[in-house]
Amino acid sequence: MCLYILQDISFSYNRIRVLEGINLRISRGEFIAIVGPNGAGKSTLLKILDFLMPPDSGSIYFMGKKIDDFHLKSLSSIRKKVGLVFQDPDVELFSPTVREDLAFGPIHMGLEENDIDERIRDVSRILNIEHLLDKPPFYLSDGEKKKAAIASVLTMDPEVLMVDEPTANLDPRSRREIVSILKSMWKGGKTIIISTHELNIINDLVERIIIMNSGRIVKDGNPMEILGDKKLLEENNLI
Amino acid sequence: MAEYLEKTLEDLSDYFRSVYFSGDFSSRNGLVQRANPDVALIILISFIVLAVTISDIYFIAFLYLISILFIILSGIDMKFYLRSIVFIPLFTAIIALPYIFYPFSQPPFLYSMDLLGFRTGITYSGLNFSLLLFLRVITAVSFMIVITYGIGFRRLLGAMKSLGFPDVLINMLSFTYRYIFLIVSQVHDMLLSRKSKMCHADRKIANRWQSYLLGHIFYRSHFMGENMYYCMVSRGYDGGNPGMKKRNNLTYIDLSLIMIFILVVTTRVIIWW
Ligand SMILES: Nc1ncnc2c1ncn2[C@@H]1O[C@H](COP(=O)(O)OP(=O)(O)OP(=O)(O)O)[C@@H](O)[C@H]1O
Ligand SMILES: [Mg+2]
Repeated sequence: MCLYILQDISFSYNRIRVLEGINLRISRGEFIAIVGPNGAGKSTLLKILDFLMPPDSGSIYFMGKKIDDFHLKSLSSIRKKVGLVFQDPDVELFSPTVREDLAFGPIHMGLEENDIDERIRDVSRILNIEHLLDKPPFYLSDGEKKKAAIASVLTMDPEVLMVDEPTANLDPRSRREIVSILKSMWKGGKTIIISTHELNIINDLVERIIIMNSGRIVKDGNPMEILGDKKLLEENNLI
Repeated sequence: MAEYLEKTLEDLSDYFRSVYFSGDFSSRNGLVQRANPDVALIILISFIVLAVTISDIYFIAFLYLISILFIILSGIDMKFYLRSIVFIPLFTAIIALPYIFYPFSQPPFLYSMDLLGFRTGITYSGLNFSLLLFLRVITAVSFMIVITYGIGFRRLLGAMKSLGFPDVLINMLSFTYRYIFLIVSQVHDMLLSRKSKMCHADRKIANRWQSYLLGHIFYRSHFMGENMYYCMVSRGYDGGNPGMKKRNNLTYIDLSLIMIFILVVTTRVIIWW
């Protein structure tokens, strides 16, 4: 079943075009990596997929429903199903303590206190950040911040999980941990979309790669086909 | 001037770092933390109301002791408490100081002297007044510290919501609070990275860039604010403030908070009679 349908989407920041003619179909249960050079528009596309910013033109469908009302309240039921981890963990973590950041999403979903505490416990155990819970996010290292940011979305347990640069700033072991968490969530039936520059981690992880450049989708295919095409990768600053 | 600006920013961000960020006691297992946040908020605010309405030095001093008791029972670090409170009484003392001479040249004097033919000096009523002001402020601030750090910000907003505070006020508070954390850490990193870049540069050349600093901070705070807002929206923020769905029954801790308050009020009434 088609989760997302994007038809001819374009988007500009202050009249500067950053996405142009995006056509995309995403099915439930897919694991997709969006790759491309800096400034290609990957993060912007993820924000569009999270309905944070309305596109300038084109249509976007989610679960068969056309999304054209971008008011906060109208989208709240959809937001429970979609989670986005931002590229910069500093904007993701804005509470006095990591614990409160992990609680932010669940609170807004209207969960009970006990339920929230349980989710915080589970997620922080999986991500190995139990010892950071009562620290201010400000004191964390960049890699710890990234993990906490991912945790703050995982506590919402979204059906669609998008992570902008999941492995940036992480040490090799944490990188493996994050990758295996993403993988097990995907096996658990979730739809996962990540953006990344690291081809070596997506090699045996994802089943579909989308290459973006200058606001357009340049290539959309399976890893075998794309990672084998040296010329294509070189043209898009990927190797 | 420019150097002064930078130094001030640096001091400010350091001050916030040390005071603001070290103060989370809301997950400790203290009295206020275990109480129902609604009850705790009502009781603590009532204490503040008492402190600012009743003009009895001994009674306010007594209230101050109670606030200290709350601070201890909530596991709030004394060092932390002193650090966050030290400036406030200092400022109040400066403001209150001139009042010790008030009303000018009207006996009874505690200490008096002749000044240009007038008899003036420290009056009893003036001293009383400044002491009252000072005590009131320090007591109110102490209770505020128990509220913010004992109840904890998350539960505080929830309590305010369920007590019917207007949404606009709650939103403003929560945005300001979240935002200060973010911007302070950003400013701090920015200053550090500037420092590392101008290590051996000629001070004069470096000064040329100072003027950009403020503009940059404003721009940056706007940009970060926008992204942070998106991030909150992404995690379900929709303009409202869902308080956490919490238990509504009162426990013995809530009752004991209420009892403390009633006890204080009755003591006051009995003594006053
Ligand atoms: N808030 C903004 N205001 C104005 N322009 C922006 C804003 N955010 C991004 N841009 C511009 O939009 C373009 C695409 O940015 P985006 O962040 O989507 O790229 P990206 O592919 O995620 O890059 P990276 O790999 O560096 O993260 C860039 O040219 C950037 O300068
Ligand atoms: Mg990006």
